[in-house]
This record gives sequence, structure tokens and C-alpha cells, in this order.
Amino acid sequence: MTSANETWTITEAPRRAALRVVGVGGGPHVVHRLASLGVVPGAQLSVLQRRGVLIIGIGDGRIALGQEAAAAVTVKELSK
Amino acid sequence: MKPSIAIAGNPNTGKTSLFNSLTESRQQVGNWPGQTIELHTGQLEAGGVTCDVVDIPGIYGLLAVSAEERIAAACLLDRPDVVITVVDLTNLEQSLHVITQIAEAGLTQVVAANMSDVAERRGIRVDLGRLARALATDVIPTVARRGEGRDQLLDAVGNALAASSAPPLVIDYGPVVEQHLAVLTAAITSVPCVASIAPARWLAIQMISSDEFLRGRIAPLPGGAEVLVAAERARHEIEADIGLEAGLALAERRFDHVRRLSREATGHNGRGPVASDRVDRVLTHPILGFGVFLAVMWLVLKITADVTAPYLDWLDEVIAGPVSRWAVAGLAALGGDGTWVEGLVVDGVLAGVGGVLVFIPVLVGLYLTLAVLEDSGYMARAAIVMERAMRAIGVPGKAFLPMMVGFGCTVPAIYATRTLDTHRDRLLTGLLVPFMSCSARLPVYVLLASIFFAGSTGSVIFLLYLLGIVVAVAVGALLGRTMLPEPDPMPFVMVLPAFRLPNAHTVWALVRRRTWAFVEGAGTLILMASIVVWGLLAIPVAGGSFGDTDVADSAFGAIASATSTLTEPLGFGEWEQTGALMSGFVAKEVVVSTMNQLYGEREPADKARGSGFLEDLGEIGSSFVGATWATMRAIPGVVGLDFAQVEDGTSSQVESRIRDSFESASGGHGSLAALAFMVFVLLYTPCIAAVGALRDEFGTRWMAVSVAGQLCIAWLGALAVFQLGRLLGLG
Repeated sequence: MTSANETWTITEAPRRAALRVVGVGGGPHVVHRLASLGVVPGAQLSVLQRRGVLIIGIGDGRIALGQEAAAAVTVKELSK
Repeated sequence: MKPSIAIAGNPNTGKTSLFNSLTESRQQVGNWPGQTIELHTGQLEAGGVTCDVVDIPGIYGLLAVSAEERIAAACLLDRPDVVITVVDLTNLEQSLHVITQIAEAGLTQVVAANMSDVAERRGIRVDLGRLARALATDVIPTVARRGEGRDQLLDAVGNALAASSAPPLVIDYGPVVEQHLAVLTAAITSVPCVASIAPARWLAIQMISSDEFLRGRIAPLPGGAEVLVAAERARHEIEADIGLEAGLALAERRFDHVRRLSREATGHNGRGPVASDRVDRVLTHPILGFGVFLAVMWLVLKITADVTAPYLDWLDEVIAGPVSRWAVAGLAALGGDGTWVEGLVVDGVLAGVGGVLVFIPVLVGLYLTLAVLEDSGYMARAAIVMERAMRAIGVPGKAFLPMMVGFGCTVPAIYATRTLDTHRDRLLTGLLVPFMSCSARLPVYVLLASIFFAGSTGSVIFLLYLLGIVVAVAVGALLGRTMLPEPDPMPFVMVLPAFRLPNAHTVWALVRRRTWAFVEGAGTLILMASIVVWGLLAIPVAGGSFGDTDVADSAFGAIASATSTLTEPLGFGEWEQTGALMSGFVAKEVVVSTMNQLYGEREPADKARGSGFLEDLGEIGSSFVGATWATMRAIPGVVGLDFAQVEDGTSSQVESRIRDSFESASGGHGSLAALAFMVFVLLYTPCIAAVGALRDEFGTRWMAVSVAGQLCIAWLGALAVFQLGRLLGLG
């Protein structure tokens, strides 16, 4: 269905899939904030919830992201 | 000089519990200069040496963006002798990021692996020995809330103090970055003033990552400007070479390192969904989560208002009864009874002390519930639910809580703004909170609405509450776009703390310190105001002698008459009305009693009633028991719905006098004038205690802005109601 190379922003990514971060955009402050929480290229994460505010799981942590911040992060599905 | 120790780590890792356990009773709480961020300092004994300890705000990394992060960065730039970094074993990666950065900064570290009990319960196994070897520091397992691991941690701190400092950690950032780092490091080393701040390589890393705070520190130093230029050049070249924001590129490599460390210590790559994720689906659900939030709010309001009310009444009675009698008796022994000194002591000082004390049960109730909500991790979920709605008026979701508390009492509501993350958010919310109609204003509405709007009292009161909200929304939108713009509208990003059982010790320590801070901070202002009001009432202007004059003849009456010209256009320009409003500045509860006094007969004081010391003590004791009993009965009532009955103790004679006064002052538009009066009561400064709280939290300047702004808004609001109403032929 989805090719291994397809990228999404977190807002579009399938829920509960294992994802890898490929890029972080937005302003410098968003990048700083996300980077200090480990949302950096190469990081693995999954989208746990996607109603209004998104909740992602990264490592053992859970981070809530507004739509704007979530749209700044591009991810692709980890090849199984 | 005493060695200095800083406690660092992510927020919600039990840093404060650890701080409490290490310092025991030797701690102080204050505010950072010019900030409302609490600063906890104390002393501890390590290796036979007394050390100063500071609990720095929780951080996720060393790049400072928010006010808290800047303070943390400033603390670490002071180069503490040892940093105790608290690790949350249930979320190792985020903790390791901070540890790694502190190690890169070349600071001596001791790691406290906290919440080892929670981690164990969740089946998270971390090999602390391997972690310690990988980090080249001591890693001590602790359960801070139970004081476990305390002694081992202190020993480790003592050893770290005695040992020579280890070289800074070096992470390989890849050939491109390393090449620029080497050049910049050399440039920094050649500028002694800059190089003396911290290890040169770390400074280079931070500046390439756009550390605004550090740049601000370096810019004014001799040779600093050149270093900054070199850093900017390095940053641009790195970004051109690798096509990624430099800070992000460095963070990527650092997290590679962190993940490797984490894998080594835990043997896995993070958990999949866990049970608490299902709980979160409910708590953060737009509809279900909102329902839960409203229920929690209801509980907070009931606890701060109803449960503490009996103690409030008890305090009030003890101060007005036995304590005042003792003071009078004491003065009599000194020959000072019956003079103005008695008035000063009883009506000025004791009334002021009482005015401070009556807030204590409310604040304890509020701080208790807030601390439990914060400590359990629920507050973060509530912030998510309210985020969108509150953003519309320019404040974050968490601001909903202080606003709701404001319907009970403005004073705790202002202090509840402390749960917000930035100074700007706290300040803006603090300025909006007074427009939420507090419970002390209700009796004024009840009195006037029942006289002038007999059939529709409830609707009028409801509309007033609604008006308060509308004004808060409007003022919030206005201030948020003018005086207090969001410095850099930050998209919503928040770490969800793990759910925990709140720790009684931590909660109580926080409640005690915050409550005491109120007594010290706002208390003095309330006491002073009480003495000033007494003085104004005592100074004779038109007749009588000092301490024995009619209200009408006193300085208070004179000021009320003078200001009444200002309220004439609002439909209530008689001195009794402005006098009532003036007394309302002290407390809104007083408006009704002042009206009763000014429009009624003067009732004889009953403080002459004699009673013995032992009887008094007995009375205090039995009434305290009564208050406790009433509290216990109030707790089940919290769950049910019992709207308090507002007693209307005003005689019909006073009512008709009030009606006549408003009719004559407004030229026959009595009900319109009464409505304008209620709008004024709704919108102007809630009380002197709220003013004290504002000053305590935001400084004298913002306190003045709030008071003056509210008076203007109240005046304009009342003017609009009265004049527009007249134009439309209402009332």
C-alpha cells in the first residue's frame, strides 16, 4: 500500500506505526524544543493519539504536540 | 566559601522530593529577581562539609528558550562544584540528554537514579552499573519520596567534592562539524575572558547550536563580539555543508550517543503502548477529557471554598472575639483602654491580621489540591484539553484553572497562575483573573438585585458573571496583542509526565512554603491597608475627636464625598455609595456591611461583654472542634450539589433607604444605577488582598497597572450601562 520511501508529517502518519524522523522544520524555537526532547532526524517514534492535540511515544516518553508542531516533523515508516 | 551544589534534571523527575530529602528543614523559598519562578535553596552536609544547594528549574536540555531554562542555564554557568542530576528511570533517554550535556560542559556530576521503585513496578530494568561505567560518574539508586539512597548520594557528593574534576565528555559530531568546532574552540581559547566561562569546546558547541542566552553573556565581554562573529560563520558554513539546521545536526549526533547509552543500560529501544496510554485517551479526549476536567475543577472549587469555610469562620470568630477581648484587657492593664489606641489595635492591627489569616485555610486548600493535581501528572492532561479554547484569548490551556479558581476567590487564583510555564503567561492570566466574579462579590449582587430586580435576581446575577467572563476574554485578547504579545508564538509541545501517586511529604512541604510566602509577601500590605483605613475613619474632618468621629465627619467620609463627583455620570454619585465602594477596596464582603451601616442605624458594639481568659480558651478550643466537624461534614457535600444559601440580613428599612438613595442619585433611574453599581463592583479591584497577591507575584508596577486598569474598565463599564440604558429608555 505505502512504499517504503513515502514520507508524511506526523499529522498524516498512520497511528501506531513505527516511524523514523527524517526532518524537523518550523522556526528555530520549535526545532530547539523538539530537538531537546529527542525529536531529531533518526529518532524512532509512534503516533499514539491524533485527536486535536497529538500524543507521540518516543523512547519511553510521551509528548503532546499541537497541530502546528506536529506538522513540522516529517517521518517515514520503518521498514519491517 | 561554601561549595555549591545544583540539582538538575527533567521536570517531574522527583527533583523537588530529592531536594527536600537532602536539605531536610534547612531550606528557603524565594523568587528569582524580577521573576515569579520559585527558587528553592538550602544547605546540606556532604563529606563533613556544609554546602549550599539550589534546586534549579526542570529542563530537557541546555539550550535556553523559556524563562525557566534561562535560569537553569545561568545556574549552570555559575559552575557549581557538583551537579546532582536526577534521572527518571521510567524515561531514561530524556534524562540522559541532560546528563550528556552537563558532562559536555565539564561539570562534575553525581547521578541520582530516581523512581527506581516505579521503574521496577513497570518492569523497567536498568543496569545502573553499566550506566555508571558508561557515564564515568557515580549512579545512586534513590526513591526520593521515601528518602532511600540519601546517605549514599551524600557520600558520592562528598567524594566528588574531594576528587579533581573529570575532563569534559567529548561526543563525535562527525567530520564537518568537528572541523568547525576545532577552529571555533581555538578562537575561543585565545580570548581569555570568554574561555574562563566554561570549557571552550562546550562554548563552541552551544554557540553553533544558537544558544541565545550564552550569546547574551559573551557579547559584552572583551573580545566577545569577535567570538560571536566566528561562531555565526561556523554555523552558516555547517548549515551550507550539511543542509540541516546546525543545532539540529548536533542534537542528532548527541541523541545517537544518548540512545546508545540507553540501549546499553536497558537492552531495549523503548516500550510500545502501555496501560496509561489508554487512560490518556480518555483524559485528553476533547469531550470525555473536558467532562473529567470539569469534574476535577468542581472538586478544587469545593475544597478551596466549602471545606475550608468552617476554619475561616472559626479564625474570624477567634480574632473578633477572644483575641480582641484580650487585647482590650491588656490595654486596660496599661491604662490605654477606651482611647484611640484601642481602636488602632482592635480595628486596625487585629482586623488586618485577621484579614491575612482568613486566607490561610483557603490557600492551604488550594495549594493542597493544586500540588496533588500537579504531582499526580493530571495537570498536564488538563492543559491539553483546554489548550485550544484558551489559546483563543492568548493564554495556554493551563490558564483555565486559575480562572476557575477566581470564581471562588481572586487571591488563591492569582497564586494558582504559578502552574503556568512562562512569566508572560502568568502575568497575563494574573491580570485577567480579577474579572472572574469572586464569591465575595455575590452578597452585593444579591442585596441590590433583590431590591431593584426582585423578580429576576438570578438572571441578573448570572448576567454579571457572564459579563466578567466577556470582559476577561476581551481584555485578554487586547493585552495579548498590545502590552503582552507572545514573544515568539510557540507551537504547543509538552512532555506528558508519567502518572504517579502524589507524595504527602512533597505536597505538604510545598503547601507550607507557599502559604508562608503569602503571609510574608501579601500580609504586610493587607495589614498596612487595614491600618490606613482605620486611620481615615478615625481622623475627624467635620467634627468629633481623633478616634471618636462619625463616618460622615471623618476623613473617610470626606474622601467619599470628594470622589462622588466622579461616579455621578454612572448614576450613583452619593457619598454613601462611593464610601461603600471605597470599603470594597479592602474587601468586597465589607460593601454590604458598610451599606448596612451607612443606610441603617448605628448598632452598639458588643465588645464590652466580659469573659474570662479560661472561658475564652475553652471557646477557641470548642469552636475549633466545631470547625473541624463542619469540615468533615463538608467533605461528603463536595460530591453532592448544595448551593450555599446566601442570607439576606438586611432590614426592609435599609432596603427602602438604599432604593431612595439610588433613585435620587440617578434622577429617577434607580434600577439602572443599581445595575451600573453592580457592574462597577464586578469590574474594579477585588480587594486589598488580591492587590497584595498581585504585587507579591508580579511586582509593584504590574500591581499598579492592574488596579488602575480595573478602575478605568469598571468606570467605563458602569458608564456604558447607565448612559446607554438611559438612552434606550430602560430603567
